[in-house]
Amino acid sequence: MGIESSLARLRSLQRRGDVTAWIEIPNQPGSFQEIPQDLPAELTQALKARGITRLYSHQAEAYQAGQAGKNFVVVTPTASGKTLCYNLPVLRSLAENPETRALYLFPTKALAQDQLAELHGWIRAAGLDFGVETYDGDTPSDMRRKIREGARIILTNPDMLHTAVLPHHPKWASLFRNLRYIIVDELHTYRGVFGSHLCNVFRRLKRIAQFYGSSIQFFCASATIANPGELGRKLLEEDIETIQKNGAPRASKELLFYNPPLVNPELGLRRSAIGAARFITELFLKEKVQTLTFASSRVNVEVLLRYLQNSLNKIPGERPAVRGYRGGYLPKTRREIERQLRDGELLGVVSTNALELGIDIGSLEASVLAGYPGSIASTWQQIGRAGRRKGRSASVLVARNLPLDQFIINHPDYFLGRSPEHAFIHPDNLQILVNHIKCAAFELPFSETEKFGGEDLREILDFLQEQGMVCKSGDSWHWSSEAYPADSVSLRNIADENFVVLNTEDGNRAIAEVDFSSAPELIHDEAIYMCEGRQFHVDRLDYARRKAYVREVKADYYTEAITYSGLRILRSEAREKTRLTDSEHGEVHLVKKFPGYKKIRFYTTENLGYGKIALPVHELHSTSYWFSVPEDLLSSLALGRDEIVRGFLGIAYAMQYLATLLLMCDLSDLGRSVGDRSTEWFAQAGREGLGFYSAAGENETMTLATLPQFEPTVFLYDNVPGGIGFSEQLYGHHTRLIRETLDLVSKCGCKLGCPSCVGPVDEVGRSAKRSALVILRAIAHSDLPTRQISGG
Amino acid sequence: MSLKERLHQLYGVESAGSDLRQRLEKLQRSSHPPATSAPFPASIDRTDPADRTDPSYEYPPTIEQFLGGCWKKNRYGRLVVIERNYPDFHGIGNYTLEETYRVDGRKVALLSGDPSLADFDLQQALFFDTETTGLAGGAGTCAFLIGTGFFVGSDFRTVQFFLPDFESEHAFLTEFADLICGSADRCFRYLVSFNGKSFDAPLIENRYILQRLENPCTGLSHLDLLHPCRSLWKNRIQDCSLQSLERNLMGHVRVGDILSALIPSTYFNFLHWGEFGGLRQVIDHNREDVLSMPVLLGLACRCVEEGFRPEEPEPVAVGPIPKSDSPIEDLDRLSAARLYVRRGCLHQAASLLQLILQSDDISESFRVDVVLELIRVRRRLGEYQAALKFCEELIATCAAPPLEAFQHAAKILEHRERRFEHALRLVLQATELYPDTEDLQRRQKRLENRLARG
Repeated sequence: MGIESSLARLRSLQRRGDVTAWIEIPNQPGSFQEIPQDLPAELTQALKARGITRLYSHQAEAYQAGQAGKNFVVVTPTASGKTLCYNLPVLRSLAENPETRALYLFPTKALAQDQLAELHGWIRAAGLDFGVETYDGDTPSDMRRKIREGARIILTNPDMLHTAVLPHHPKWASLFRNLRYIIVDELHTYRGVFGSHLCNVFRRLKRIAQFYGSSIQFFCASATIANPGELGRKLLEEDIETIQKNGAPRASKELLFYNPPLVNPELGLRRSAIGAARFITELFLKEKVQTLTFASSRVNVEVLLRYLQNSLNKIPGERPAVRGYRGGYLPKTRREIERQLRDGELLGVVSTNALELGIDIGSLEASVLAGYPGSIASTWQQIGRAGRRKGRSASVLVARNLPLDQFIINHPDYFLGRSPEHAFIHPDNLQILVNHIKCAAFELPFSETEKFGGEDLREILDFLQEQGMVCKSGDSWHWSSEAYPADSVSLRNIADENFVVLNTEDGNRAIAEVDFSSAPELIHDEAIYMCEGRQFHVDRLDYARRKAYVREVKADYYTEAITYSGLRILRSEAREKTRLTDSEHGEVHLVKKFPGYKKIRFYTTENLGYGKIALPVHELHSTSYWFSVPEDLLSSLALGRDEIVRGFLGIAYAMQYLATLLLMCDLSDLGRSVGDRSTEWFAQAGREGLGFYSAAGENETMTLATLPQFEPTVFLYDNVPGGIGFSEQLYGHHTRLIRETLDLVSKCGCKLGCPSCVGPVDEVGRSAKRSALVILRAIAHSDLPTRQISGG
Repeated sequence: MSLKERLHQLYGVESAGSDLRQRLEKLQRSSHPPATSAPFPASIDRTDPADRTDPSYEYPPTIEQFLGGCWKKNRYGRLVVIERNYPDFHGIGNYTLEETYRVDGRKVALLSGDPSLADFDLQQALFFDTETTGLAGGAGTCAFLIGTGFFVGSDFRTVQFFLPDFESEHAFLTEFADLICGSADRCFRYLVSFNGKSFDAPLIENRYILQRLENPCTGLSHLDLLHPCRSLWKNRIQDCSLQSLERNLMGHVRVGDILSALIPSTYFNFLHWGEFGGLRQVIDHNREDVLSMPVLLGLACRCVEEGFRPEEPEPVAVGPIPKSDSPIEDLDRLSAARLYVRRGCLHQAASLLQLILQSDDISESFRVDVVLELIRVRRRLGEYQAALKFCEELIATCAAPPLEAFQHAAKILEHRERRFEHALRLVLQATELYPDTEDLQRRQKRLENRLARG
C-alpha cells in the first residue's frame, strides 16, 4: 500500500535523527445526528441527493443555534462540512420567507467564487429558485442593479462592502430592509489591522441595518485559533456561541517534524528545506500517494515543481502528474485542478498557501510543508489538507533555517498544545476609528445620543467639525464635504499614503503597493524588492510622489535596510517590577532613521557591502512593551558592558520572532529597539562595532564609555500609528516570552550565533549568544512578583 | 494625553511652535479642506424676519432677502423659496421661450425614443435641475438647491427651493413633493432635465429614502434632454454640455457665471461660516440652467419637424427651407435623419435626406455622407432601384467614390437583380481603388464562381 511503504521509508529518516517528532494522531469516529425534522422537504431532498443522510454533530449544533436566533462561530478543521453549518439555516429561512435576503462575506474574490459554485449546487439540488450572485469589482455594471434588487444571496468581500455598498445604501434599500443573515467565513483572517477595520465596517453596517428596521444574525466560520469566540465577540460586538467540537470522522494520521541536518555548525547553516521537501514528496509520489506540497513563495513553488516534474520521468505529451497552483489562477483553472485531484487524475500539486483555504478538494493522502507557514493555524490548515475518512494519511513539516521554523521544529509539544495564537484586533485605534466615523457620517447623520466605538464620539465629531468635514444641524452631525471618505480608507492598512511600485520595463505598470511605514525599509534607492518571487532593483524612489521605479534583475543577494529606531516614552500603562525583570508597556513616540542598507548574499548570508540611504525620518505615535534587568542582578553576571549590550541585542532579535509567533502577526507589524530605560541612548550593532545614538535625532557620537546611564532595555513596539494592541499582549506574556527566548537560543545548534537565534555573528558580535544565554538564564526562573506598580 | 490632544496630534493640528513646513506638507496631502482655527460661528443670521422684533437695531440682510426669495414654512420646518415669472417673449440668446410652441408629443417621443412620452404636454411638464454637495453620489451627497420651471398659461415660472441647513431637509423635500403632486388644479406628469436621468433623479430618490418619504417623482415620465441633444448636435458641436449648447446653438453667453466645480464649496462656506455672498451666483446659475431647457427642447423639436407633414399619410418632400432664419443646419438635418432611422421612421428619413440634397451649397464630402445614408435607407425600404441609382451616381461623379457605394451596388446587383457580370465589373473597379479589402476579394471570388457555373 502506497502510504504504508512511504511511511516505512520515512522511518529510516527518523533513525538518522533528523525527525524531531513523529506523532500519531489517532482516528476519530464521527459524531452524528439525524437530519432535523423541521427541515423543509426540498432541503432534505437536496441533502439526500448529495449523499448526506445524517448531519455531523457540529452541523446540527449550528442549525439549532441558527434556529434559536443566535449568532455562532463554527471552529472545525477543513473538510468537515463547515459550509453546510451556515448554508442550511440560511437556505431554510430563505425558502420559507420569500423576501428574506442574506449577505456572505469572504476575504477574497476567489473564495467568493468558490462558494458561489457550491451554493448554486445546493439550490439546484433543492429545486429552489433564488438569485445567488457575487458582487465585487468584476461584476459588470448592467448586472449590478439586478443583483442589488433581486439577488437573495449576495456574496462579496469587505472592501466592496466598505466602498460600494455601505456608502450607497439607499440604492441597496431593498437588501437592507430584508437583510436577516450575514455569513462571515474565514473569521480568523480578520485580525490585526484588517480585523480592526472590519469591526468598524460592521459598526457602520449595523447602523444602516437599524435605519431600515432590520436585525441581523451572524453565522461565522473560523480556522482553529485559540480564541475564536473572543474574536467573534470583539469583531461583531455581539454575543456569539462557539461550536468547536468536530463531529466529522477522521482516520488516523501520522505527523512528522523534519529538520534538515546542519552542514556548517560554525555558521549555523542547514541543508535547504526545498531540497528536503522535494525528497520527501518524491518518496510519496513514487508510491503513487496523492500529495499536496506547500511552498512559502511562488518562486519556491516553481522550483519544486520543476524538480518534481523532472524526476517523475514524464513522457512527452502525457498529462503532467504534478501541477502547480497559486492564487490569481482563474476560477476555471482552479476548478480543473480541484476536479483532477478529486478524480485521482492528478498525483500531486505544489502550491502556495492559496490552497490552504477554499472548497473541499477531496482528501489527499499526504501533505508536505516546505517551511513553517507562519502560524500554527495555517500549519494545521495545510496539514489538514491530507486526511481521509478511511486509511491513514501523513503530513511532514520541513523546517527552514529561520528562527520561527527552528523554534517550532524543536518544540513539537508547543505546537501540539492548545494553539497559542490569539487573534487580536484594536478597533478603537484612533486613526482607524476616526476614518470610519467619517464614513459613517457620510452614510447617516450622527444623532446626539449615538455611540460608535469606545471613544467619546461627540468629541471626535466636534473635532471633525473644526476640520470642516461635518456640520452640526439641529441635533445631528451631517457630512459636509465634497470628498467621498471611503475612497481614502484602505481596509488593509492604517495610513492612506501607500507607495506604488512601478516596473519601468513594463510601461511603468504598478506591480505592488507598499505601505508608508514599510517603504523606507523595502523600497529605498538601490533596494532589491521581492515581488512574487521575482527580484526588482529600485532604480529611483520618488518619495514625495510616493512612487518607486524598479527594474527586474537576477541578483545573488538581497538587501536589508538598517533602521535606527529610538523612542520617547509618553505614558506608562502598566508596570511590573520583580527581582528579575522590570517590565512595562505604554504609549511611545517613535523616531526611525534609515541611514543605509546591507547587501546579503543568499544562502551563505555573507555581507557583501553597505550602501547609504537618504530618506526622511519617520515619526509616529504608537505603543510599546519593554523590559530591563535590575542593576544588582545585571552586575552579578560577570559580563562587561559591551557584552551586556550585545546580549540584549541578541535577545531582542530572537524575541521579536517569538512575539510574532505569539501574536499571529507579521514580522513587519512589530519593531524592536535596544536602549536605555531612560531613552537617552539606543544601541545598534554593525560591522564597525557597537554604535550608540540618541532618539532625538541629533548626530551625537556616544560611546560605551561616555553613556550617561546604563539600564539596557529591550523595546518591542507596534509598528503602526496609534498602536494595535500588541504591546499590551506582549506585556501580559512577559515571563513566557523570556522563557521561550531562552529555549530558542539555547537549543540552537550554532556555536556563536546565527540568523536563527540571536542574529548574524558579523553584526551582533561573537559574544552575543553567550551573553544572551547568561542573561536569559538569570531572568528566566519562575518567580513571584515582589512589587507591582500600575501605570497611569 | 486627552482625546482632543491625540486627535490634534494625529491630524497635524498643532499649537504654535511646531514645524510649520511639516504641518503644511501633511495638509497638502490630505484630501480634506484645511483646518482653520476659526471656531464655528455662532451668529449666522438665518432668522425669520418675523422674529426680528427690535425696530431700532439694524439687522444685517437675512439670507432670503439676499437671495431674493422668502421663507416658506410648512409642518416640518422651513426653507427659502425663490420665484420668478418669465413671459413667453423672454429672450435667451437668439431665441425666446416661444420656441416651445413647437413642442408636441410626437416629436418628443421621436427625440427620446420613449413611447411613454407620446402624450407629452408642456403644460404638465416640470423642468428641473439640482445643485448638490458633491458629484460622488452616495448617501452623503445631498441636493441643497432644486430649481424647477413650468408653464402657467404662456408664462414660464421658475420656483427654486433652497436648503438653509441639513435639519430642514424634511421640510425641503416635502415642499418639492407638494409642488409636483400637492395641488388640486395642477398635476405634473412629466419631468424634463438635462442629464437628470443618471444624476439628479437617482440623487433625489436617495434623499427621499433617507428622509423616509415617498419619492414624488416615481410616477412621472422623464425626458432627459442630454441624449436627444447629443444625437442631434454632437456632429456639429462636439461639446454637448448645457453651457456649450447655450453658447454655440442658442448664442447665449452667461456673464459672471460661477464655475460648477466651485458650487459645493460655496454651499459649505455658507454652512460652516455663514458666508452667503457666493450663494446668489449659485441661485442664478441654477435658474439659468432651468430657463435654457425649454428653449433647448423647442430647438430640438424644430429639428424633427422637417421631412414631415403629419397630416399626410405619406411624407411629401417639402421645398427648401430658407436658410437664413433657421438655426438648424444641414449637419443637424443629417443627424436628425439618422435619428429617424434609429426610431424606425425610414420614409421620413429618406424624405429629409432628399431635402438636404436639394441645397445648393453643401460640400462634396458632406453630400457623399448624405447620399450614403440615403442609400442605406432606400435599401432598408426595399427600394433597390433608387438605391442603385444613387450608388452609380456616386461612383460616376466622385473623384474617390466611397467603398461603401461599391459594396451596396454590388450587393443589389448580385442578390436582387442577379446581374453578376455588372456586379463583378464594379467589384473589380473597386479593387483597383481599394486593394487588399477582404470583403471585395470574397465577393469577387463568389461572383467568378457563379459566372463560371453559368
